[in-house]
Amino acid sequence: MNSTENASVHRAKGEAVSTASPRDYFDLMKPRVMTLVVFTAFAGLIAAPVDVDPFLALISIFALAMGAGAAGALNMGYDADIDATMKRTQKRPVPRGAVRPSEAYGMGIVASLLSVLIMMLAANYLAAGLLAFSIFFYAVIYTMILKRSTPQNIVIGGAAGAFPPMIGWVIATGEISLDAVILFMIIFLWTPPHSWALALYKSGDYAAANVPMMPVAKGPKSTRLQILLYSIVLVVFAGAPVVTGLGGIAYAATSLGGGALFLLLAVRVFNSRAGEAGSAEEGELYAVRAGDKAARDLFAFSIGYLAALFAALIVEHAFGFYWAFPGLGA
Amino acid sequence: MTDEQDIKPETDAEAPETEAAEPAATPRDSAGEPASQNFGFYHREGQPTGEHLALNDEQIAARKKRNLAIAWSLVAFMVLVFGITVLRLSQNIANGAG
Repeated sequence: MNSTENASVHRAKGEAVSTASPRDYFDLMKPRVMTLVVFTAFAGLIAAPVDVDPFLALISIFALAMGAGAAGALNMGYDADIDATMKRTQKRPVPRGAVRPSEAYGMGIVASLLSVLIMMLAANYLAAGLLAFSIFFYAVIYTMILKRSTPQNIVIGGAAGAFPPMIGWVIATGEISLDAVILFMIIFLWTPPHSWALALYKSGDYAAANVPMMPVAKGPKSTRLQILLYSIVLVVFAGAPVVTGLGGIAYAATSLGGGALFLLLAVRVFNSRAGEAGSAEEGELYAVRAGDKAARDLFAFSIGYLAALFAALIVEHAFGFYWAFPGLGA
Repeated sequence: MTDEQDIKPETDAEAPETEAAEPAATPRDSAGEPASQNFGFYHREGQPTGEHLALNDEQIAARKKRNLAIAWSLVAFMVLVFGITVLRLSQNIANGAG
């Protein structure tokens, strides 16, 4: 009697064998977040005062995107319970049942190691070290510790998202300078008003998932005040590149105009009753109740504002549109 | 989502309906804790059971797509490392290093 005859042959039923597609695994890596990571890192790399081989720069940015995606996969594996509860995230691959948490962990760990290795080969040890630390910070410090334990989760955890432009700078120069820290700080200060604006009109979702976001833990009124305060600090600080000479007139104009609009929207949020009606009924990202419209507008504009600031740096340094502000900078 | 829960042996085909309807036991790890608390890993994962599965067309197609994606990723990784090595070497030679 051979082994085939001995073995019982089973018909695979239901979810016993995966029907997940490569697209499901790609979605684990949070492609939209990766886009922002690539964009801001590219800005840091272009703005750095050192020329770098374009092929190696491209590979380094790819490694950075891969590292960000790996952190996203680890996050999705650990947060499967939260994602299954929140309307906005219920269609992600793990809560949908397409991918198991263990697969998300496996993919996240392998992609993390490969991304750091590629960064080390293509760029330098410092860039690889920063990438490794940012993955660790997002997956462990933010996802596993801060997110479920403190309303300051995205304030501290926002550092993970602030690393890309600094890493872009380090890819080119091999060192961390004041300008690299300024780019880091812009995203670090941008994260709270951006995330809390979303949390205001999705607070019911976060409450249902027991995530202590600021509107859930401290209430919408306190959150609206903190959004305004962080917005003021952000808009003022966004002018720092002009002072150091990193940003020229084009950047200054973008920072000034965008900052004024950012503040206007933040004041509108402060004066509104955003967050007091719970979540929108629909799970879509921009779905909103009438009272929460101010928060939704700030959330949407904040993405454009950050993109515009970094786009201005790219335009100035990559296309020769840099003119230093008179009396300031280089 | 374990084999125990979702796969019914053909030998059980004639078993009474009442037996098939009984709820499956919660999968547990070697320490006796629910496997779901163990970062989603099951202690049986990867261990041979002597059982064979007959996949349906959808599962075979999905597996083929996943295998192809992994294969292309490995090829891309090799090309990437080769390209980086060549470029680094040529840079070092041009700079007169070593």
